[in-house]
Amino acid sequence: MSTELHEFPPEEVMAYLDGEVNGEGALALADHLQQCAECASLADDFCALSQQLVAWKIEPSPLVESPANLGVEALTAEEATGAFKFDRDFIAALPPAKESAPAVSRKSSLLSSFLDFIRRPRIQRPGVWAFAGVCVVILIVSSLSLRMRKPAPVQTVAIAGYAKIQDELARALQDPKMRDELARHLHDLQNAQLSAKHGADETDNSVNGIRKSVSPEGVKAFNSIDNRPVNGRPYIDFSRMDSHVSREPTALDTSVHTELATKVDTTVVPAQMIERTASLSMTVKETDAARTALEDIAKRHYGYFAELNTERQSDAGRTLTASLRVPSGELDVTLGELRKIGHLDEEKQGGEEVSQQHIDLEAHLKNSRRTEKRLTDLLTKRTDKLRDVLDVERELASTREEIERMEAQLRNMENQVSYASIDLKLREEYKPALNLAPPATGARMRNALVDGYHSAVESALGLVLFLFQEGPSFLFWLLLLFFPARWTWRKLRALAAQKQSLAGAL
Amino acid sequence: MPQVESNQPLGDSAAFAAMTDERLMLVFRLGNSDAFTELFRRYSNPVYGFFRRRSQNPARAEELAQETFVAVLRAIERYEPRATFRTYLYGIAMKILMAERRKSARRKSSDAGPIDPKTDSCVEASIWVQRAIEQLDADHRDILLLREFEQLTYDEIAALLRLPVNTVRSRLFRARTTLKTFLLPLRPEMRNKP
Repeated sequence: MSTELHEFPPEEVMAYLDGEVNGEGALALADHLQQCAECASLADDFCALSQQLVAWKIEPSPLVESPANLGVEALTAEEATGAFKFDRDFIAALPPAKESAPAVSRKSSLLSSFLDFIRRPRIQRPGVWAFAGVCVVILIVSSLSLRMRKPAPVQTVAIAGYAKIQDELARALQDPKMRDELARHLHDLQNAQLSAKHGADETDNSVNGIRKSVSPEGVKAFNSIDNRPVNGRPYIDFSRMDSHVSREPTALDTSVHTELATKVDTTVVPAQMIERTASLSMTVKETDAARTALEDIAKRHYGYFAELNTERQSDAGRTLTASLRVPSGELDVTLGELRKIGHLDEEKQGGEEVSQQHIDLEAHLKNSRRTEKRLTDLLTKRTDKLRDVLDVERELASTREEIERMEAQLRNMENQVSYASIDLKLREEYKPALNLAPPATGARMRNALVDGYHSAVESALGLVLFLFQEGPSFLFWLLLLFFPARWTWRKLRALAAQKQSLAGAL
Repeated sequence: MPQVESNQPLGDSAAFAAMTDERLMLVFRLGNSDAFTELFRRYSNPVYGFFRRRSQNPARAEELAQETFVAVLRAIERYEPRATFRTYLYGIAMKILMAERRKSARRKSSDAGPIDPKTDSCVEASIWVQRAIEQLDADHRDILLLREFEQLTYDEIAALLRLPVNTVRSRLFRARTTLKTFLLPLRPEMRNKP
């Protein structure tokens, strides 16, 4: 059946038969069904189909005979919580109005709702219960791990350290010779305090940094050990010192630092690190003999030549410059032997103390290594975003580069300290040679001819080069000035001719 | 929400029989159990038939019908007559049926029992119709059954299945057309049956 031939589509006819078309549409369809045999046949088919379906009969519901069997036995849990029980008596006992329901029943309603929720088939699936169990386990584990992550009692450790220092102080003060050791203990104590205060962010553990952190009160407490006995023991008010710890030196600290430095540095710093240098300028009779002597001296004193040059000039004697490196302990002896090689013209000695730089560099290196370790741990333990990992990698590479640079500086500094450097400049005495035999005349003429030829070629080549070099600019100015100059010249010549003619006429 | 007299005389069967379904629900919510008895009397057979036509196991159909009424009872506090009670009731029944189908899909082997002997003993026409309907697509079958046996309107079916009304109408048309072709070769003599 085509919709083009009929006013109403077959679906519309079906809807009409189902009572889904009302009003004028229903009237129009009724008229159409009376006139259109095909649509009427379709309607008959639909009606016949519905009648056929009616043949599928279902036996009466067994529930009708006993409505009280609506699962009463299965709802014992609801009975316990005051929830529904399908019984006429139960229904009759329901509260007359919602508003008059007591709070207890509201609570039980909430409870029953919850029980209903967990009794739903979807909730009762084993997977759901397993998921809930996993969630509970995760919660327990996370709470336990949070408790375990609480910071360790650092202060207790520090206090234990204080007690140890107090006892050692009591013993040390009995022996005046051990006073020097107190400075070391003070240093250790300050270091421990700084570690406890700053934790992993130790940025300046050097002696210099610690010295800066000690306030005047701390020094006074240190100096007043003998004057403040407590319970028969000398007493240091470390708490006061701790309370005045500061990272930035003050003006008052500066004067005190010197006092403390004499106590601390002489005991804590193992040895002064001094880079020693010397330079000798000498005149020797023979450079070869002097060189042999130099090599012999370097060999005997376990030194080496960092640099050695020999130069000869026509009107002067030979010159030997050398840079000799010898162990610092051998410097004085070496210099004494070097002076004997020739006549000493000039001598300079110098020394630069690098102890502080060395300690600071070591501290920085130590901190950088800690940072490197922390970054490495962070990189291995964390699984963050790729960008964060790349940032950590970049930071790690930068830290490693800094560590390598500082290690090189440290090695260089230690090398400079362990080996002294001696700069030597030996000049040979000049002795001009007497040449009695004059050169041949022919040879002199030939040499003059060759020199003349070379001179002519050089002058011609110089002229050509001059023209090439200056010619373009000369031509440019010539072209630029030619026409104005010619015009001016002609004007002047015309004026001169005019004056001459006037003079002739007069 | 329409106002309902709370002083409705209890036990008056004639008065309840004259009430609409929605009014009976409101009366039941106010505490009158006879209102639910009347609703149960009206809809126990249709609801049982709803499940019976969709399940081969009559005992299971009975249990599902029970669950439907129990669900109505449990949700009585939340009931609001925003739609007809029939739509509300079949909506609950449809949800229970869907849950049952999901469960049956998981335990197919245990549920795939023989057809109830009572069904086999039914009249021959019933068997023909049943088997013809079983050949329809599930979507078409549900709509056809809701229309033909539960007598739901297109709008009610659309609300129940969450489909557009036009989709319901077109699917129903295709279901009927297909069913007609299924029934014709099986029982040609049935066409002559008035």
